Amino acid sequence: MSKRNNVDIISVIESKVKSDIIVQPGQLGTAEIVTSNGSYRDVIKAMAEADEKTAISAISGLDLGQNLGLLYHFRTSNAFITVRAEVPKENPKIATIVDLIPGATFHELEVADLFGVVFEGNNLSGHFVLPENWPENVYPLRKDVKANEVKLNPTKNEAKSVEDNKVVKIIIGPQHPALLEPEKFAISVEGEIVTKVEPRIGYVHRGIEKASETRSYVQDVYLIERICGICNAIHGANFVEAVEKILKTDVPPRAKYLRTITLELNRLHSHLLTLGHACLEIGYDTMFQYFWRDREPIMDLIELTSGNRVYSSIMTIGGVRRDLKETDIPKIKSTLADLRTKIPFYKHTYETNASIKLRMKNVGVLSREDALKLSVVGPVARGSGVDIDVRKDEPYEAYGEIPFKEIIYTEGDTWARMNVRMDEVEESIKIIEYALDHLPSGPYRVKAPRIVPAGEAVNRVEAPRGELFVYVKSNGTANPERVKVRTPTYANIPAFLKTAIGENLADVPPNFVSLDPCFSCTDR
Amino acid sequence: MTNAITWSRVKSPWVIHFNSGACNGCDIEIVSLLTPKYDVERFGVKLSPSPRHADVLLVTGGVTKQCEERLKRIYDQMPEPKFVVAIGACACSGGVFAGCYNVVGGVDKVIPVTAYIPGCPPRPEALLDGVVKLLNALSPPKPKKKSKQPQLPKEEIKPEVAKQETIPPIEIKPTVME
Amino acid sequence: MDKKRTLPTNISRRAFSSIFKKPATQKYPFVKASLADGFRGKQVFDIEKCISCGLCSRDCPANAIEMFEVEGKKRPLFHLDRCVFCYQCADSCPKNAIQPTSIFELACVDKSTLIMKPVPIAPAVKTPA
Repeated sequence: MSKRNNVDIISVIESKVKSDIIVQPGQLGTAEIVTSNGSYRDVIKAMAEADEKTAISAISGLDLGQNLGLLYHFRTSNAFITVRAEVPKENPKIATIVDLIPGATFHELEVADLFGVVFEGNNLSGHFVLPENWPENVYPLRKDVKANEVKLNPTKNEAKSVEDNKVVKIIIGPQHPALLEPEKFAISVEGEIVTKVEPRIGYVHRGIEKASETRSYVQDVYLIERICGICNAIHGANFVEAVEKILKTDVPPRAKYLRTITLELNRLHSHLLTLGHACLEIGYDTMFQYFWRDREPIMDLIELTSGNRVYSSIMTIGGVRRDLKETDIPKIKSTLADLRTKIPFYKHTYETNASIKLRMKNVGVLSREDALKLSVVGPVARGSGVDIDVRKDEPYEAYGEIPFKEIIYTEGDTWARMNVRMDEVEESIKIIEYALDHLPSGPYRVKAPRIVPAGEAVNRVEAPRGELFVYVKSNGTANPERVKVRTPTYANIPAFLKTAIGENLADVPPNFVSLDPCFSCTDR
Repeated sequence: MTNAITWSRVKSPWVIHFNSGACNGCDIEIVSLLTPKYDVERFGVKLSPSPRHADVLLVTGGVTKQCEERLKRIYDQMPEPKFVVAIGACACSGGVFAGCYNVVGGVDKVIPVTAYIPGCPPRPEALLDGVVKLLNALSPPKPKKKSKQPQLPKEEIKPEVAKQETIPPIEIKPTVME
Repeated sequence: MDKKRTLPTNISRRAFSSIFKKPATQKYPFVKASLADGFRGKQVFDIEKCISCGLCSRDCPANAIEMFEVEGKKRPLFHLDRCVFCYQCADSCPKNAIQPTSIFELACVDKSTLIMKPVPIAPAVKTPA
């Protein structure tokens, strides 16, 4: 387990890469590095060699008129660097970075699908997030394509070629009793052992990033929040914080604490949901019912603080939309105290119960090096010994003032990941209680202008599933120019593709649920 | 014989759930129905694994263009008589996502819908209310004392909804707001 | 320590003691649903406070409010099948003409009943509060 090392990544880059770069500190994270003539590869190589925790957060595509811009966002042990490159629209070819950072595969494929950039060395035949019958050469996120004018090709039913006899392909398809969401996984098995997993995502791709460009910021808060129903509060908070960075608004302290309370309630319900769902997948229905029964009081608390069981919708630019009444605080505390008394039972069950241990221990092991290479985030990374948590690395809202532990397990298997979530439930209860005890008084909202001046900002927060990233670019009107969201499950799926190989077919469901997949987040 | 079949269908409808591009909010409320607090199995409702065994199809999500064909296929695989319930604002009409480039906008553009349950997401009690209303609409006219259908508590809210003048529905094309 | 290592005694003890505890089920619809204060259900619109500014319609994220002419003035018409009950309309309204209620049982078989038309002012008729 490495401590945060104090490598000054910017001076390393400046010393190793002499030409064709401009370093702009304080922009888009710790610094923005504008590159040209392919020097972006040298910058990325220097970063990867200097710090083992260099990982790709996202790749944002931009339509700049004549050119297409590419922003590579990297996180290191103690900095967040954005590397900018551009390609002309007539010849949008650029070399891939998958050889330097393997975790960038999915990010490049998405930019290729939605913008038409060709990454040499990382190609896919067919579409990645768009439907199969999407018309050719129509790239939806380019500015010249209008959302309601795209006509799809008629579907053709092609016979798929038959492969080797020994390999059987099992399709866990869009409609499946175990899956809540439609996604297709073609799992190739030889006997009982999985040899390959081919995902097909894009069934829940709604085109939210394009839609956000034609709606105002006020409407976009609700649109971005609805990327995912389970982690909705964090999406709203992330977007709102990024816009507040462009506006340079100071959010009142009471609003920060109220946001923290809502975010932690959201984390509680999400973790309890996953813990229950994992037990359902291994067939342990009793635990599933117990977890979801204990989740209901948390839903009641979310309803008490915001008016709706699932979509709290209290984040707004400049603060929160409603205040917390003093009379509600005892009810919140007593519900959390009740939940806290149940945790020892659950922990004891996880430690001693034979079914859980057999189905979850040594299943889906992800080693620490693989976790670093594939740039995974969240409990998946913390279950493999990688200590990343945005609440500690770059505190936002009130997390800088609230003491809590970062949970790390080193085994790297399904059992470790579920235990990370269980311990985080305990920590979340402590955070909420501390926030309620130290709630500052004062206003909970400041007025924010409808028209946002031109600028760009990045923001990242810790969603229940991992690091959530947003990039917002504004152009001086009431509508944003570009909103790019990179969700944690998107970064974690490559880990599943690796850990499933060599395991039994029956181990695929618990392994899959342990990375806590949320496909509406993935596809947007 | 038909009465017996209808009676058994109404007493114990088997549902199948399909997410046609939803945010998961409505889906977790549907799964909450199976949990101890709401317990939809009191009404005999069972979650069926395959469309070929199901009576009622619960659809969430404004249908994405990728899922449109799969939804039609699942609907065709269900045996008659079959009923479709559109759950949530997205399934009723596209909701917030109407106008997005990959969204068709509402389940009734793809398959015929029997009941609509609006909300974002609708509470599990609202889902139960919708299921009960559907069952009431299906059950044949019988003397009240024989029917064991759960009756909704008499609340003053119901007449208010009915009093709203029903004007011809205005066609709102899901345009993108400028 | 537990002597029966093969049986999950932890769970079986819990499950057995649950027989004597209060059931976790709330038998809706035979009992009313318990809602928190401030629950965001169906809207109620007070036409006398409305000044026809149209801010509710402009800010609605689901495009669910249409300005509809009633007696010469534009009033909001709510399409409840598109509404996501976020109440941004209530936040944007400068006169607080839109308020939440706790009505959530809106299921229907006919989608046209989900349109809430602004009721016109008549001499002796008050809008439903």
